[in-house]
Amino acid sequence: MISILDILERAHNGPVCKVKDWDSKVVPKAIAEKLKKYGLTRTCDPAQPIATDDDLLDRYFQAGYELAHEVGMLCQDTERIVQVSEKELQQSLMNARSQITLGRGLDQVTMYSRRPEDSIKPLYQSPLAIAADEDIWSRLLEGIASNRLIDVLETPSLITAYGQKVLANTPLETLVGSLEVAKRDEVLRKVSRPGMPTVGIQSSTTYHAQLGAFNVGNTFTDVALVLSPFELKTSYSALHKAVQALNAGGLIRSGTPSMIGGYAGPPEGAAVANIASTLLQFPVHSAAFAAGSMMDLRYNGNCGREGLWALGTSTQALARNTNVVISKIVESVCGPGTEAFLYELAAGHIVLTVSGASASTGPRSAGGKVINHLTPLECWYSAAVFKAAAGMTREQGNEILEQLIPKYEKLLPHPPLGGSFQELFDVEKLQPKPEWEAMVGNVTRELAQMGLKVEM
Amino acid sequence: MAGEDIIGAVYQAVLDGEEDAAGKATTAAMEAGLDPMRVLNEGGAKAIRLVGERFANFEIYLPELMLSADAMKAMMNVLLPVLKRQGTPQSRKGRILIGTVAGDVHDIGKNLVSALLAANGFEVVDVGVNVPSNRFLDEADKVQADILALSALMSTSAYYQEEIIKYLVDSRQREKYFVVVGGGPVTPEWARQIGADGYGRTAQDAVKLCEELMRLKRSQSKPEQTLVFA
Ligand code: B12
Repeated sequence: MISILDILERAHNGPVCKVKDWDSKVVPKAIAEKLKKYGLTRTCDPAQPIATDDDLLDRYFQAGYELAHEVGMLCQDTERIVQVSEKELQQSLMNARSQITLGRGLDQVTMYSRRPEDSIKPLYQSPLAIAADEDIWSRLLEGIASNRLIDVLETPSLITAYGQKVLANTPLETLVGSLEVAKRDEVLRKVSRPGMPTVGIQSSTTYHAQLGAFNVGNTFTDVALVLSPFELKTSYSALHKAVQALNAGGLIRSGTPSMIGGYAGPPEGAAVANIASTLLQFPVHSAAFAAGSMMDLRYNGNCGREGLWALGTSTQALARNTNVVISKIVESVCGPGTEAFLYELAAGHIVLTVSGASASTGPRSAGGKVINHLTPLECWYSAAVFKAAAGMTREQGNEILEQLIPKYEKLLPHPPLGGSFQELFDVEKLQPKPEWEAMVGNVTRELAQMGLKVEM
Repeated sequence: MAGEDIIGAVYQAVLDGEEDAAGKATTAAMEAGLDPMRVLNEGGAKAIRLVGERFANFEIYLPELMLSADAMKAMMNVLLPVLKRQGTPQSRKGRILIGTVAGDVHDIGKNLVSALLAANGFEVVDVGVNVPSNRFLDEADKVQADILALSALMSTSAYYQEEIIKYLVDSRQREKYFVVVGGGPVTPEWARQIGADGYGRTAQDAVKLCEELMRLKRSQSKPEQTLVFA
């Protein structure tokens, strides 16, 4: 069985490759070969965002699986390739858990490996590390955590600590890690969910905050977040986090995103890359469960037709051919307080549930780019839609998508960014303002008419 | 080889993203005494326009764009000294130092901007990701950059865009370079607040922005306020 020590050794001594060659030659070439070998070229069908051809999905899996053990991951700091043999890959997939229980007491939840069209409900982890001001951070998190549709608590990013700007890579990062944990735990007590599972450290742009605050002192965070760069790359920062999490008794959720139009090329290439990178999370980052994201370079999200297709195809291929637990992200680009955003979230989460994702983290309100543009309401809504779609067939999914996508697709390149927590919420009462609440109500009724009953 | 053929070889090398071939073909063109401006316009620039169009239509992707941009650079490396000797005025599009600021490893956006700038004929020096402010400044000085292009994808790293500008002001060097900023969470308001010379929302905007700044520089002026291309 491969250990993290083997990986560190390979990151230091593996075959040499320049990052630039990896990105512009090695990976694109290997992906192009797999697309050809398995007859995957131009198999993305934008008219049918959820693929229904099982044989095709299994060929995608084979392509991704081969890519994983033939190519491996590049450690970008050392410019050395961390190779993993087929046997090692197989073993780590065999050893990976097919269900993971997180949290304690009444707040305990279990995440299951799911199949496409599975009726088991997936879990929702919220929110993503979207930057929020220190003075409203706790209130915002309280709103999110107070709703039991949210199973696992992550946090917004703190960009100041005790009023001081948190510059990346400085000791303020180390400090902000413990501040995040302390503030989060206080919120958990306040909403009476002390055993709610947590993922950290979110405000950590580098590994410093994690080293300083993940299960340090009397605190406990269930899951450590280990992310690494596009495509099939790792870094010492990611490996630092992995080693620290293992030592501190945390589970690892790790992932590498893939990008349509980026180094992986077309949607088909991005799907293959995403399958490979998801598989490699187990041997390379000692993942308990894998995270993965899909982006389309043209608009920086994944709710366009090709984006949804690639997101769903990689998820289905993995769900059909492995027993691992996988978490994925709906990369919306519109912001809270806009209808387009709600349609995007619905489309993305339907794709994920139907494709067999075990969990999702989100939402990516306003593409995650605008400070304070995140409200608890879209977190609850996303969780509700995500769960409501469990048991839906792929055909039903496609029918609903056909009605949803035209409502927002033209807006993706210049998305409406919506409003902030303070603009859309009564921060005192922790209630959505009437217009925003009504908008969500209307969209949920529309979804019901389309055949998706969302209960919030 | 006839002049046409040599220029055709430069064109093809840039189109195919063959860095070495582009350098060799351009050297051959110079040895054959061809007009460097003709090699530029009918060879590299023509090819790169097609590459740009293909990328915009998603017929090719980032790797091909990066390779063609490298081939374009290889061609420019041969042409520039010749153009300089001849004193051809329109030859210098501008030298841009680009990188992602400290603590930040997001590189796709920066690579895209870097490739499109190079594809559009700028001399681009890419210093990579997670670049400490002092290194940016040292490199800028070393390569005598016209424009510093700072990419930041996180609010906590965008602070370094501010730090770099502040350092330039405090050390009385603000006039030395134009500083442009971009990246996901960077907004026009932020760019104005920190006193950047320009903001670009997309890679295409970054090209337009740098072209405008260089136009101003050539007329020995500077932007009245932060230029915003979005
Ligand atoms: C992919 C990604 C990653 C990858 C990075 C892979 C890589 N090699 O780049 C990984 C997984 C490693 C990662 C890690 C993290 N990420 Co991240 N990431 C993203 C994501 C999803 C996409 C970024 C991207 O590549 N976009 C594609 C390119 C093409 O777009 P772009 O970079 O914006 O560039 C375009 C323009 O901005 C412009 N441009 C770019 N640079 C420049 C420069 C100039 C001068 C100009 C004019 C224009 C310009 O042109 C480009 C082309 O059009 C964004 C979310 C998002 N929607 O942007 C989050 C995001 C940037 N990440 C975020 C965070 C918090 C993190 C982590 C801290 C997460 C964590 N807790 O570990 C770490 C930090 C790592 C670090 N130290 O840098 C946050 C930042 C929040 C904030 N406001 O501060 C975001 C916004 C996500 C969110 N919360 O929703 N991330």
